[in-house]
Amino acid sequence: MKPTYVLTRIGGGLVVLWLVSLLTFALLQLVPGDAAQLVAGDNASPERVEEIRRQLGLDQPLITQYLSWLGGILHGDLGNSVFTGDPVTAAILRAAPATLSITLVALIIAVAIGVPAGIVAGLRQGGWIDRAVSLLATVGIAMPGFWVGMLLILLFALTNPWLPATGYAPISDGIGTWLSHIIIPATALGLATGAELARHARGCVADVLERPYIRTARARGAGSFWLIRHHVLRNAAIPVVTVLGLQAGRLLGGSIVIEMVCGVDGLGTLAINSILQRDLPILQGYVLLAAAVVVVVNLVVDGVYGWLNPKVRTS
Amino acid sequence: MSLAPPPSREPLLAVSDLAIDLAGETVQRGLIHDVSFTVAPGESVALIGESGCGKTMTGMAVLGLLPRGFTVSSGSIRLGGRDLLACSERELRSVRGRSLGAIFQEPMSSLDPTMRVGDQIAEARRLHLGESRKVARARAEELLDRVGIADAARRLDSYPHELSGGMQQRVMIASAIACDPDLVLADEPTTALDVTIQAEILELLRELRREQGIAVLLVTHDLGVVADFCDRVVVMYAGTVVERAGVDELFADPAHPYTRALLDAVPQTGHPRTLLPVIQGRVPVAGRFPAGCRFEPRCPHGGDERCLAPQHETALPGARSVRCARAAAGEPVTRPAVPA
Repeated sequence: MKPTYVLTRIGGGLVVLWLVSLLTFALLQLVPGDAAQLVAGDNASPERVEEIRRQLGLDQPLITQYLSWLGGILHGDLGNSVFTGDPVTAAILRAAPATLSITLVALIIAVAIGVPAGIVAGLRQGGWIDRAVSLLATVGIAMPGFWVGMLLILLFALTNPWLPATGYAPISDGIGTWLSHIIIPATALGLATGAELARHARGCVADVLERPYIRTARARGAGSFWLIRHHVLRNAAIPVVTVLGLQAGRLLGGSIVIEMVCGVDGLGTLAINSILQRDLPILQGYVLLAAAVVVVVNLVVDGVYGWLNPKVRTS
Repeated sequence: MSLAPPPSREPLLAVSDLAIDLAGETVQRGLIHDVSFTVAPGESVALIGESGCGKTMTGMAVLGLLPRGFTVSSGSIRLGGRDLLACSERELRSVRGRSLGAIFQEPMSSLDPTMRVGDQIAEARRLHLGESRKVARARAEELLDRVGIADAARRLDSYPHELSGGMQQRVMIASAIACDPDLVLADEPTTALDVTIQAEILELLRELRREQGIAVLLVTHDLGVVADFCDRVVVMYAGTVVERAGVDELFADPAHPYTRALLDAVPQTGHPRTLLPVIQGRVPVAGRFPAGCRFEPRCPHGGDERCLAPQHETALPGARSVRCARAAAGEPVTRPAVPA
């Protein structure tokens, strides 16, 4: 991969993060009326409002506010929660493992189910496997994640008490315990993504099979397995990886709802509560973190994309 | 120039009475029918005709790679004495790329964009000769050098998009001859290339024939290429063979009215400001062929009672044949009328 390609991508990611920081900062300015009043609530005394105004730095000139806020971020200081007074960083670090676990496991489930199913369906177009995959994929996309979550809790935690219904256990409690808490929300979250991936992978494989270079390889005497291994998978993977990157961002957003359904104390719950409690610093921290995760995921996708696609790698 | 070996030798490829049907919602029987021709070892035979006449489909049938829905309904295809239509898929695989190489029209889309050209050339040797990647790559380097690509060792690691169209086609040729095949099927190998590159690619194919004795079945609509490169010509029209002849005889004295019209439609130098004779009308749509001679509606001699019956291939002197009752009866074939 050319260094310029890598540098452009990283540079682009940094620009996105900077733009997000501007928007996040503007959040405080854009809330209708007086942000300090809003945060303090309707019944707060004028002294309390003033205190919050100082705490949020709203009494400073705009540019000073932004620069000191940005400087703080670069030092890992996202301010303090208006509600509890705890550092935002600490609150986020406390909530992050649960959400990242759910999202990551959801992604693994989606890839592990969706990609092979899609590939087989694409290779056996019109066959019963293809039709079954298409049907299941449509159902998977149509079912809302929160509903699947409730269904899974009902089936596997309440009717059959095999799994815990709610909560999260850190991985330090043991992999099994961790997984038993994660598996229901992760499945509920990952199912739609898996269905989306299956449909996409099917389309990509079907498309690649029609390409002239597949005919060339067959004219060289390649059999099915050789063809799939050396020609189909690599070419079909290029567009699938792109979709995977887009889905990763969606999973992070989707986890907000799933966390509420499954009673997991993660970033989603933190974000919802911060909105309900008008805890703007926490909300800013969440938005920044989500943006950073999406940017990093996209960088990884770009890297994989470049590795898979020689046209990107060498030009 | 003729590179043809003595015609008495056993043919390398013998296609006889081939018929291809299209299955699907509207079954089309005899889309291609009564296609017979042979290719002798080391010989170069052209399969010519307008777009849609079935020449590519015939080539694909030889490779056993007909698109989905198309099936060979009768006839036989024998390569080196082996009946390819009776072969299992597994047996066919052992023929493709081994004794039968293939070159296709668009080198850019016919090469895998994600695979190094060295690996694509080496592929057939790994498949058929069980060579390791390393050994096959060493052979691929020789092959790249053989097809005239400079700096072969470095080019092995190139991807197709890094090469020019002419170089890509050289890579295709190198991959087609990787296992020293007896026959190479070349489907419009020069159509997508610049004129100067076309000449280079033809020269390369000629060299390979001369030095390695590879026979070539050339599918093309370019009469210039045919005159330049081939020993014998098979003319196809609307899914069937209308004439077979040696290249010199065909150009000097075409027997079938369609061949005559085809030759007349080639622009000539030395006749400025004259109208180019064209063949009136269009090739009939597959499935709506006339009951009699398929060329009859466009033929300057059409309307004859004999033309309304299905035409049969008739042998002519000099190992030629024609599918036209008039021509078989020795009646002269005239030029088509110049459009007013």
